[in-house]
This record gives sequence, C-alpha cells and structure tokens, in this order.
Amino acid sequence: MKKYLFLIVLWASCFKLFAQDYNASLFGCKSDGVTNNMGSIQYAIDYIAKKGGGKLHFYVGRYLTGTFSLKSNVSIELHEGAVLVGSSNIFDYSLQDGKRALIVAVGQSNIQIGGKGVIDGQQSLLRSQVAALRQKGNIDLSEKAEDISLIYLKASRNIQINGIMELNLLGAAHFIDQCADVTLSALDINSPGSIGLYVSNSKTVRLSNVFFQAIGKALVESEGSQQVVKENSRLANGKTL
Amino acid sequence: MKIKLILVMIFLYGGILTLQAKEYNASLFGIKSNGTTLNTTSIQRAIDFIHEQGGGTLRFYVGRYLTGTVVLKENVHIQLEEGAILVGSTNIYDYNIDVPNCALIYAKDAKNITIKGKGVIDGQGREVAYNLLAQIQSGVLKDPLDYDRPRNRRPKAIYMRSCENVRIHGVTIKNSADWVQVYDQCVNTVVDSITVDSKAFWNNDGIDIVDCRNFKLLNSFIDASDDAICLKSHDATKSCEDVEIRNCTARSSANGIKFGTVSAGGYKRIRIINNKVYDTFRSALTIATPDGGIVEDILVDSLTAFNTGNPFYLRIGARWNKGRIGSMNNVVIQNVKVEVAKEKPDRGYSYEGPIEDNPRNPSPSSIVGLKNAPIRNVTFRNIEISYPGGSNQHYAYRGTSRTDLDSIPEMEASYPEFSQFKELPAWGFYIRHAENIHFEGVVLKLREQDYRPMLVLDDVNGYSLLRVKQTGAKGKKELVAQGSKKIKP
Amino acid sequence: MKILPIFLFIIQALTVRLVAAQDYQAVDFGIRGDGEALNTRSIQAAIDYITAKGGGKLVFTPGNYITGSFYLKSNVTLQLDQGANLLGSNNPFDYHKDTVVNWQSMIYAIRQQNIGIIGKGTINGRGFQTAMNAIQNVHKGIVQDELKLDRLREWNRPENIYFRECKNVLIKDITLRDPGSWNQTYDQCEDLHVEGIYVDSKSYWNNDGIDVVDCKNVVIRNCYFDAADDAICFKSHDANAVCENVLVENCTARSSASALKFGTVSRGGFRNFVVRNLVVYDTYRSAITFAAVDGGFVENILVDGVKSINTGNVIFLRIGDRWSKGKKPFMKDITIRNVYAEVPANKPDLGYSYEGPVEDMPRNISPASIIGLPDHKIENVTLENIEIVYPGGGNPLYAYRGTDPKSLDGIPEMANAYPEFSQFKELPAWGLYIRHAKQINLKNVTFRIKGADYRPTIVADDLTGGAWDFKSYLDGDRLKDSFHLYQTKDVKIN
Repeated sequence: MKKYLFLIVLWASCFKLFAQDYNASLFGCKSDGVTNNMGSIQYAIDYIAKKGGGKLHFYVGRYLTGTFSLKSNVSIELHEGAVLVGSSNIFDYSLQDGKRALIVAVGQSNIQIGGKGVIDGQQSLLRSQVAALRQKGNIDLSEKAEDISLIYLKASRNIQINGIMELNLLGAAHFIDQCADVTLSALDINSPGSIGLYVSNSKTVRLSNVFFQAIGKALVESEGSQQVVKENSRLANGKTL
Repeated sequence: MKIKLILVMIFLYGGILTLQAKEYNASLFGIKSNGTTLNTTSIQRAIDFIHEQGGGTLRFYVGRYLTGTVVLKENVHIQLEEGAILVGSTNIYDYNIDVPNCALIYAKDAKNITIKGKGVIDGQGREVAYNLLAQIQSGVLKDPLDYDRPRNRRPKAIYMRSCENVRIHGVTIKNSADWVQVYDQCVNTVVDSITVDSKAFWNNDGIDIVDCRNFKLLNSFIDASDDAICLKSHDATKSCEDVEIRNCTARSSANGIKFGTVSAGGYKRIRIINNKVYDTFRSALTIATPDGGIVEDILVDSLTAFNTGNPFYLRIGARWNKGRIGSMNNVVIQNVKVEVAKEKPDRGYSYEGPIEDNPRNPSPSSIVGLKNAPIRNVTFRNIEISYPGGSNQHYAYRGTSRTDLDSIPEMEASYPEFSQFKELPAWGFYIRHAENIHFEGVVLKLREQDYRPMLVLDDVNGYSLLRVKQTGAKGKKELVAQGSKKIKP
Repeated sequence: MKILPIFLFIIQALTVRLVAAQDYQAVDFGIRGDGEALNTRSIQAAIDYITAKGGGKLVFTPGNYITGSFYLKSNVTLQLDQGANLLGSNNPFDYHKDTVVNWQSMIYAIRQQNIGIIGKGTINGRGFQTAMNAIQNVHKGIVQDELKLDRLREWNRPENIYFRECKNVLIKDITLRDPGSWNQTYDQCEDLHVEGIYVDSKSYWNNDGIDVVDCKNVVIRNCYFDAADDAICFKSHDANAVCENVLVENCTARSSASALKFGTVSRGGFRNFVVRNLVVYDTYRSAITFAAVDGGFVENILVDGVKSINTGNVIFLRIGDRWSKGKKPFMKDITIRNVYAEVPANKPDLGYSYEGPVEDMPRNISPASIIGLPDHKIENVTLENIEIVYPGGGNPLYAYRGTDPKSLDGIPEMANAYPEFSQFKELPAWGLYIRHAKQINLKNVTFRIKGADYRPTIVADDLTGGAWDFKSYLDGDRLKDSFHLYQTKDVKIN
C-alpha cells in the first residue's frame, strides 16, 4: 500500500512539474465568438512549448479561430461550455501538405486535447463560401476544398483526444497519417455527411466510446495501418462500429 | 406707477426664473460632450450641487459624455435627451472598484431619483472587462478569476441600493461589464419603457431586482447574454415582494424570466403579466430557490415564448441554504404559448449560451422539488407548448422503469438549470417531489417522434389532469406516474 | 552641383509602370469588410493567387477590413477605393516580425517588383490601441521588451507599410493613419513613386510620416504629412548603401519633430536630392534637418522653395560622430534657396496629439545652425533668397551665452549626442550660428526679429571662407554689423 502511495505521490509531482497551466485570456483570447483568436492561440502554444510544455485552458465561451499548429508537450483543455469555433472563411485554414485543417500537428508528440467542450467546424457557412468562391473561379477546382479536417495529425505520436463534442465538419473529423499511439475516447462526433475518421499508415490507434452521429462514413482505414482498436464505439443507429 | 409695475414684473419674472432653475444643463458644470473628455468630476459636482440646492434635473443634450462612476443623490433627476450618450470610461480605475457592486451610476440610501429620456447609457463593458483582466494579469489587481474572467470589480451600468422612489424611464442601457442594472432592497421603483442591450460580456443580466418591495417593470425590451429579467434575493431576512412585470419582451442566452439563482429570502406576490420571450437559450421561465428562499403567490399570465430552449423550470434546491429549506407554494401559470426550438435558439448572438450537460436529447419542462420539500400547489391552465422531439436513444437514454427513474440524481446542491440532470425520461413535463399539481387545458405538441412519454411524474402527491392533450408525432405513451397520487381537480 | 539638372531630368522621366492586368474583387476571396472578421489569411490567399496568375489589382470596395501582417507580392497592386479602410488588428499577436527586416508591420513586401497601393481609401493601423495591448502583454510577462521610455521598442510595434528591396513601387492617393510605430518604410527600394498620399500619423510615439531608407530613384510628390515624429524622413541604415536621386515636390508637412529630415540613422549617405515647394507649418523642431552623425555623408542637395510657418527652427545642418565606427562623415554642396520662415515665441505644436517634448531648457529661441565637427567641417553651403522672422526677446537673465572666447568655447561639441537644433541649449546668436564649416555663402538673406534680443544676428566660430550678403532688422529697423566672428577667416561681408 505504501509503495503505491509513494508511486502516486511521485506521479503527482511529475505531473506538477510538467503541466504548467495557462488560461487562454492571458494571451488575449476573447470568448465573444466574433474575434478571431488564431494569432493569440498560436502565440500561446509557441510560448508554452518554449517554457517546456503545459496546458492551455479554455473556459466557457465561444473562441473563434483559424488554423493553429500544436507543439509537443502542449495540451489543450476545453472546459464544459467552451466552444472552439472554426472560422467560416476557408482561407483561415492554412494549407499543410495540400490539406486544410483547423488543428494541425506535424511531427509532434505528447499532446492531449480534452475536456467536455465543443469544436464547431461551421460546416454550412464554409460550404456556401466554398461554393461561392468556386463560382467566381478564385480557387482551383482541383483542390479538395471540402476536405477541411478538424484535426490533422501527421507523423506524430502519443496523442490523446478525449471527451470533446465535434460538430459540423466539412471534411474528416480526424485525419491521422503516419502516426503512432493515438487515442480517441469519449468523443461525440456529430456531422451530417462528413467522415468521422481517416487513418492511414499509422500504428496503434485506439477508439473507445466514440459516438458517430449523422456521419457519412464513420471510419476509413487506408492501407498500411496496424492495430486500429475499436472499443464500445457506436453509430447513430446504435450499431457498434 | 409705471415703475412699480415694471418692478413687479421683474420680481415676478425673477420668481419664474428661480422656479425654472430646477433644470440645469450639463454644460453649466463644464461637462463636455466630445466623447473624449472624462467628465466624472464635473458630473459629480453637478449632482452634488443640484442635491445641495434641494433637487432638480440635470439635462444632457445630444453628444457623447465620457465618465467614470457618478453617485446619484436625493432629489436629483438625470435627463438624457435623445442623442445623448453617457459613455462609460474604459479605464477600470475610473470606477468605484473599492466598493462591492461598483457601477457607472451608483446610488445608496437616496430618495426620489430619476434617470429618464430617450438617451443612452453605454458602459463599454467589453473593453472595461478586458482592461480589468489585463490589470489582473499584470499583477496590479488581485482576482481569483472565475472561468478565466474577473470575478470582482466589473462595473455594472446602474446599481441602486436601499433607495426609495426611483424612476427609470425611456432610456437605453447597453454594454455593461457585468449585470446591467441592479435594484437592491429598493422600495417603490418604476422602470418603464427602457431598452436593454446587454450582450457585451459574461454575466450580462438584463435587469436584476433584488429584495425589492413595490417594483414595477413595464413596457420594456430586454436583450441579454445572461438572464434577461431576473429576480433575486440576496438577504435571508428580506424578499422580493409585490413585483409586477408587465408588457415586456425578453431575449436571453440564459433564461427569459428568472427567479434566482441567489434566493436567500424569497419572492412573494409576484405578477408576471403579458410578456414575450424569444431566441432564448434556456428556459422561458425559471423559478429556482436553491438557497432557502420562500416562493409564494406567483402569477404568470399571458406569456408567449418562441424559439426558446425550454419552457418552464421550477426547482427547489439546497445549495447555500445553511440548514433552511426553501419552499415553493401557489404558483399559477396560465394562458401561455411556447414553441421550443430544435436548433440552438441563440445561435449567432454575441456571448451565446454554452453547450453543456451533454449527451442529452431535448429537455422537457420540469418541476423538481426535494424529497422533504415538495413544490406545492402549481396550476397550469390553458397552456400550449410545441416540442421538437426527435430524440435518439442511442445518443442519450433514460427509461421509465423504477430503476431508471431512481437513477436521476437529486443534485440539490448544484446550480439549477433545466439541463442539469442531462437526459430526462419525458419529452413534455417531468415532475418530481411535488404536491397538488393541476393541469387544466394543456396541449402539448410533438413535432418529431420521441422514444419518451409525454409526462413523467415521480413522487407527486396529488395531481389532476383536465383536458390534457397530445398532438403531432408519437411519443411512447402519454403518462408514466411512479409513487404519485391522482386527485380531483 | 552641375550634376543636379541631369539627374532631375532622369527622375522626372521616371514613372512607375505597373503591369496592367486583371482586377480581382477582395470580396470574391472571402475578404470581409464588416469590421469584425480578421482577414489576414484571406488577403494573403488573394495576393498569392493573383501573383501566381501573373498579376493584377486586388480591389477593396468600401468597408472596414481588419487584418494583421501580410505580404504584397510581385505584380500585385492593392486598390483601396474611397471608403475602403484597411484596419490594423488590435491584437499584437496578429502581427509578426519579418526576419529580413526584423521589424513589425501590417503590409510587407520583401524583394518584390511592380507592386503598388493605390486608391482613395485608407490604411489605418489603429496603432495606439495595439501598442497599449502590447504593453499589457509585456507587463503580463508573456512578451519580452525592454520598454524604452515606458514604450515598446519601435521594431516591436507594427508599421502600416514596410517594403524592402523592392523595385518599381507605386504608392498613390491613399490615406495612411495611426500606425503603432513609424508609418511607412521603404528600405533599399528602387524606383519608388509616392504621389498624392495623405498621411495622418500622430497616434503614438515614433509616428514618422514617411521613411525612405537607402533608396534609389525616388519621387515624393503632392503629398501631405502630419506626423507626431519626423514627417518626411530619409535614413541610411546600411553603411554601404546610399539614399540617392530623390525628388520631393509640392509637399506639405506638419510635425512634432522635424518636417524634412536626413537621419537620424545616417550610416551610408544622402546624395542628389531636389526638394521643391515644401510647405511646413506648426512644426515643433526644424523645417529642415540634415544630420550626418553615423559616418554617412550628405552631398549635392538643392532645396528650392520653402514656406515655413509657425515652426520652431528653420535649418539645422549637423555632422556628428555617434555610431560612425571610424567612418568619416562629410556634408557638402548644399543649396537652400527661396525660403520664407516664421519662428514663433510659443510652442508651435501646442494641442496636437503626441506633442514634442519640452527639453534642453533653459534656452531662448534657437537660431538656424550649421554645426560640423573640428575634424569634419560642413562645406560649401549656400543660403539664397531667404527671409526668416524670429520673435526675438532673448532674455539673458533666463539663459545666457556670450560671444567672448570663453563663452563660445564653452559650447560643447556633443559629437555623439542625438542631433537636434536645441541640443546645445542656449546658442550665442538669434539668427544663424555657424561652427566648424568651410565656405558658407549667404545671398540676399534677411533676418528679422520682432523684439530686441541680447544676442547678435550671426555668430561664426571656426569658419573658413564664404561671401555674406545679409540684412538684419529689429521691428523694421536695420541692425548694422550684427554679427560676431571667432576663429573665422576669408569671409567677405557686403
């Protein structure tokens, strides 16, 4: 018993060392739903990464943003009531390997995105903008504009996404390529017509308690993936994934 | 002779002048309308002067009058003419932050005060709040921060405490950093024909009536990011009594009309007549007494609510009650029409209400007391409510078996909201721990199929259902009653 | 001096020709003029698209377009229609510091060609609030800055425009307001044409009107500048580069520092300038300041036609030795002619936002000054057809500098100080003070004072050569022999 206690204390102290907490407002993030916070969020992540890692906390409110990039050892906590709102302008999503996504991690590790908060992809607004742009001919039709993922993970490892409600995405909720040790748990993905999950060339991707609502295709596994574990994950009609 | 006449006339004229001298223009005191000069001290001097002269009206004509906190005094009336804007400074140090409840316009123990006219009070609250936050984060001011926002020192637009004969008429009040206007322990207050636009920041209640006696809120339009029309009771020895809310329209990203949350003393003889609620995130009407307050003799008549997240939420809790148990007795709700939204009703408004308590299908109206403190004598008469339905039991499920119903937590110590229990077992009404609940002419419409029944009663000691009808799509069955007793109406 | 007309001809023939290509509407790229959306990335996407398509104009119709930093690219012109406001974001984190120029800006162009910003619209940096927010970030400890004079360093605050090493640049008709730092910098650009712009630049500290740094072939014409710091400012940041072939014509300037300035940073030099028809008013320091204090040179300059009203000082020519690093500065071949100037008794920029600082007191009204160094003399300066009206009233009880050798030698050299006309505090003349110079000519120069002054009109110290034809008046009465020569030779006085 004592041994366990000791271990717990040790674990707790490690946690304390690494998990420095930062509030989003410290970096000027505004929860009014209209201020685009991408500059502040990116600065916050870079700053926390420079300080050796920690967690960026978003409390109840609506935080509008465009693409931002995750860095190793910087985690994000969306507390209940906090909504990360994706911009309704496609150009606020930067291109990365020809793909657009709201949250991008390339070559990063040890990241958690957690909490009971929400990420809202603003599907319908984005779709109508893309249609309008197409009509004007100002974006190349070859580009898969609709494929704006919520979270794009590439060549990253030890990533956990937990508890989030993910709404109204244009592309795949999670696009996972060449990653290892990715855990998606207790997610509620509600997005008419889009893809829940796309996995390719990855190792050990775990899904547990993920609920796919109004999804076109829940899971797409491309070649080269090993160990995609599915536990207790369901579709809207109650069927197990 | 002629000279005498002239003298008399001059004398008379002088008399008229002194009579009229009860009106003072702002410029007399060097108050400037350029929007950049900080007028705090000159407005205060004007108020003090008028007060010392025995009272009068301070009149602001068209222009922007920048100011920090000013304290209203007895017999001083502020007249904001059309186009005049009293603009709150964005510098937090221009407010009386050393007192609790700092505010742009502050009054305490004052009698006969008025704010009227077609002018505007603009608190510039978002900027004030963010500047305050910056001062906290720079370490100059100390604040624990609630939800990453300053807990203390956010100025209200109007705070009046222990005042008598207050009249607020015609003005527009907007952009506060906190609750917009609070009338606390005031007696004989009339707020009439005001417009409130209160979506600048968090906690932006539209109007807070706290422990007031003889209060009338009439003919007003209130749009707020937090509760729109809100009755509170901060003092366990006081209560809101004889309050009338009539002909008002409310929009809220919380509740349209709310009793509570803080409800230490209680609410007596409250009449809520002919009001409208729309685009409201939570309940059209919430009566909550989680802090030991006594609620009795409440009349809600002629309420229309459309595009709202929930119709009614009546709740006794045990949060900060310090051993006293609250009560709710004699509530009549009649002539009501409500349409509950399927989508988020406040989508697109500034400071939208938070998505929370998920997973959860659309929630029913709820009347939830405590085991040892049932809600008593509630009558719903001539009610028409349309619910969206369309629930998905794979997403969230609560059955009607005894085990399922008993699994609903009591949550007596939690913050009371209609969504707090997450999934509830009914789509229309869920009633638990109540006594003498009467439905008379209640039509509930379901727009899409629902796996749940219309009514679930659990521990209701005496209920009557007269002319209760379900229309629209199908629910499972109409009524599930557990541990409840039917009585004659 | 003969070279001037030739280069003038060349530069007048210079008109920046931009590729006339397709017009693109900003709104078609999802750029929103609602005053709320942050357009940084959509503006960038539009520019990238247009440059890739071979170039054209990106047209902003009336609206308020908020943005952070973006890059203008080759063959792209921003057209701001009247009523279109490009507004700087108030979030300092929406700007970045370009690694080439090491400075923050809203609009960058780095090594691009054929670019422009045109139209009657406005670029408004809204810099005051951004600077306030940036200070808060420093106080919170999340941004590092040493806070000089309680303000972020100027490179950590955004300018409206920063172009570097660009060719063929057209800036026309736009209004530029309220930057967080200097307003617009053109650094090592070639063929720069600035015409008809209106600059209101007094929202914050260091708000220069325009900074032209080490550029070649520049025309600034028909422009209006109102600035808290220097209004029209030429600089030389690079010791191996030069600001040259410049025409400034038909411009009006108001400043709480200097109206037309060379320097302060002056490492390389300034050559072949023509300044014509310059109007200066309500300006705190000098109408004209030429400073060579960092090893640079000033050569072959013609200033022709200046009206300077309510301005604290008229001419200040100065060689110093501040950051020279051994480089030898020089200043020669300068003609300033056809000048009418009035110097007020009171502060000329009273009431303007960000008034110039009251300093170097006590001091009576300062004279025009030409001040070299003992080893680096200012050479061959001609002042022609000039009338300067001073208030006079220099009071020796308030501040005193006599003309005895001890007093004159007592004036410090201040070689490595920041150069300003007031830096020596009290000077011994009220009209013109010359020190360490060669060949200073005065042709038809008139000095007037309204009230008596204890000082003579002109004092020269260590001057060799020159022909003086000047008159001096006190309230209409001719002051005779009102000059003092010290260590001076070969000066012919008519």
